[in-house]
Amino acid sequence: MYYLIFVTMVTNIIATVPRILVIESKKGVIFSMIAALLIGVVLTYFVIQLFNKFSGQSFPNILKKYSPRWFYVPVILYFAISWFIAGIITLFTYVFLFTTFVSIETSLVITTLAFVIIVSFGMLMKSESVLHTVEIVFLLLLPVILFLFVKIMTDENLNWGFVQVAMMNINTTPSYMSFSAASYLFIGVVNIVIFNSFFKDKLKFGFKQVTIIGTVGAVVLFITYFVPIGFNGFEQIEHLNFPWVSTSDSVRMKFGVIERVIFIFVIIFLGISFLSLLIHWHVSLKLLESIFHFKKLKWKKKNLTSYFFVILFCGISLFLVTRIDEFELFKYASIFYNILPLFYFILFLSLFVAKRRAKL
Amino acid sequence: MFSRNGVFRLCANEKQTAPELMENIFEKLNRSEDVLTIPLQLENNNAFILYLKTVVDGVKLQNIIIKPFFELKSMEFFSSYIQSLPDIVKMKTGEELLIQLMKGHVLIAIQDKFFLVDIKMITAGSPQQAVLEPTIYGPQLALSESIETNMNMIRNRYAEPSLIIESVQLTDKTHQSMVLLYDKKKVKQSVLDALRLKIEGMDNTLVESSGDLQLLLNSTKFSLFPTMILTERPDRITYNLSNGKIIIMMDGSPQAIVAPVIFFDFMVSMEDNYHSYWISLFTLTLRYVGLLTCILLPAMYVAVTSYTPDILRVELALSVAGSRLGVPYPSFIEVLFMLLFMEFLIESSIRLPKAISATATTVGGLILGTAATEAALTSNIMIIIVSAVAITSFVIPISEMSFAIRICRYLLLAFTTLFGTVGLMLGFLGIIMYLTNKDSFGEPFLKINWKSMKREKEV
Repeated sequence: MYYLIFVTMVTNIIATVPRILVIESKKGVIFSMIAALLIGVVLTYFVIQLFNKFSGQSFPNILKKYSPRWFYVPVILYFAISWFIAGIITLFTYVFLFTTFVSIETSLVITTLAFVIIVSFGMLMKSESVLHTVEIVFLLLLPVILFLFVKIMTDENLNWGFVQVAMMNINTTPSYMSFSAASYLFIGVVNIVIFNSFFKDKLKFGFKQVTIIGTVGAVVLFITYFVPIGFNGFEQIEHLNFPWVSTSDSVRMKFGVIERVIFIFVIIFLGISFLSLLIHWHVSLKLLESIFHFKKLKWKKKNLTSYFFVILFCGISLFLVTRIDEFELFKYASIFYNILPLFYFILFLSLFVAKRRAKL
Repeated sequence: MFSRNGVFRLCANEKQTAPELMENIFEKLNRSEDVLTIPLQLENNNAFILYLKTVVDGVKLQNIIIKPFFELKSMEFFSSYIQSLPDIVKMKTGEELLIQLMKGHVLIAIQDKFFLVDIKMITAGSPQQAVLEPTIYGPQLALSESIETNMNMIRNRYAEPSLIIESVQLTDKTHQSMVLLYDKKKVKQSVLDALRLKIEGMDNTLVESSGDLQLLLNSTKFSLFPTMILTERPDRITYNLSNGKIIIMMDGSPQAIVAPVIFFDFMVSMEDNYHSYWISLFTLTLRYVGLLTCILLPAMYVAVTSYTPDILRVELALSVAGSRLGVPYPSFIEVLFMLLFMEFLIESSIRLPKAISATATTVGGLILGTAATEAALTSNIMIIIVSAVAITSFVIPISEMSFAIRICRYLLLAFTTLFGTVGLMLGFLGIIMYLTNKDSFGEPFLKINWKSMKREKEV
């Protein structure tokens, strides 16, 4: 469970979140980050508590049991599409980043294709295997991520003066945009909608767990926002497209086989964003499967509904990657983050309805 | 007693002529030359024995059946003597009786009673030296080719009353006996049921050894990674038994099958249990590093030379590029070429007799390596990589796994060649996903087990 939350948190470092934050840096980011942290933890707590009432059932199952068809089909469809978009944002951000910083010659389509081939296999796996994969890959990458953070934080080029300047803006009123971007860090818990069917026992979510998630969230948010500012200066950072990657490029490892930290950074975050993509699209696929089942789509006694969706996903992403550029992506991503609170609202609404009907 | 048309009849004890049952069997065995029906007669007492000369231990037969017949006074004494023999088995009927006779049982007819005694001739009964999984410390003897000796070894090593031995008869042409061993207290019932179902569902005409039995028990037809371990070490078997796994042994093959297994089991050598904590931790880490090197290194070479040379620090990038100077084709062909030669070398040195295989390795390894670099067909660094890969692929203790890893390497190489550095990383993640998606009798193949860090504790 933690993995799902943490993976989403860490993925955001390379995603659009830091960029939105630094652009908004003079409009009360710090205050909205604190607000997002508090609200994020509280929301996480409530989501887990609500799902604990239905332990061992996935969200579509719950809704199908306790709500009418006209209600659950649009809700699940909305969820699935949101999750697909969340995945595609991560994918595109990474693909753009990779072509910009590592291999300029490779075309976008080829890189996307490499992702899409592997992810389509991942999407079709059993949900349990997805969890195991996430666990293993995350644990393999975690030491390197920690090393990178420590390395970057202790680098002599990190100017804490800039951080202090940024801190001074604490008393401005928060902006909605930065709040929603920051709260995106805590969206990972929503993946429970599918994976809840594997948590047969009630998840313990008491004070200890809240503290862990709160602390990790706070640390990640802090690093996400302040470290690029410390390296690049408070004034200039707005002009960077990928504040974090540029930051990591400022660090050198004198004795490493790979000298520039940026390459380790990019390769490690390839793994992380892959996981994020895998989780998002897997959940999205499962949600779609729960409402659509094409009986005619059959070949050798195998129903091809899920294959159809996988091909659809791949097709859309391969098509879109050539049509969209970094600035548009940024624009759409911020719109997507802005409508996230609605997402939470619908999730809570539907769960409350189900809870009342189930009389738990 | 049991005739061809299936009617049960008691047969009278007629002098000199063998009972009808024996005649029938004799007919059914097509009057093969090694089928013997011997009448025993002493004054008024007479008995018949029927056996196959080729599979029955003659000396033992003489000692425990024929001699006492002439020493004991009456038929009653003899028949109660036979009944108290330790090797007596339950009387079978029909096809089963035939199979038992084929396997070295002796049918004895005393007046109107029939007995079946197991006097098998064991030719390959002595335990062999451990060849496939040698260790420095620990037991040096491996399983033998006879199932009795093997079970004796296991029982001696694992003297728990909860150890259950369940024998299964294969329905193929060999009619080999097969044995399931498990600790009743530790075994997971769902796994046991799944395995039994699998065995019952098997319909193959010829199962020769536990090697192909393992393949038949495998659920998917085209699978790369093994989902069962073949082992020849009795200490590995007892270790696995005590961790709740099921052992399948087959007569006539010196390897036992362990199921279900997880990925980490393949990386454990029994040596780990005989060393102190830090030493075994070190060797285990070494093995995992070897595994990663073996899979990643060739693909990494392609990624670094052809796609993103700027990843490495400048000095290293230059020396790699300098070493490739004059190599007339892209790096993936170079890698493929050298890897293939290495595989040829490995394959030929396995097949050749020991005396010649040393020559093959010398010629292949030393001469070809030097010559290839001097002819500028490969770079020096490539030679280092190929040798590193060749060495590390032998670090994996179970050879089944090492073969699978060798194939994985090529898949990763292909993916990297197509997609570059992204392909390298994603291909590796893909292999991990493939492994996590696999299962061995319902147990996930690759997952991190938090409860106990001891690898084979799971299941």
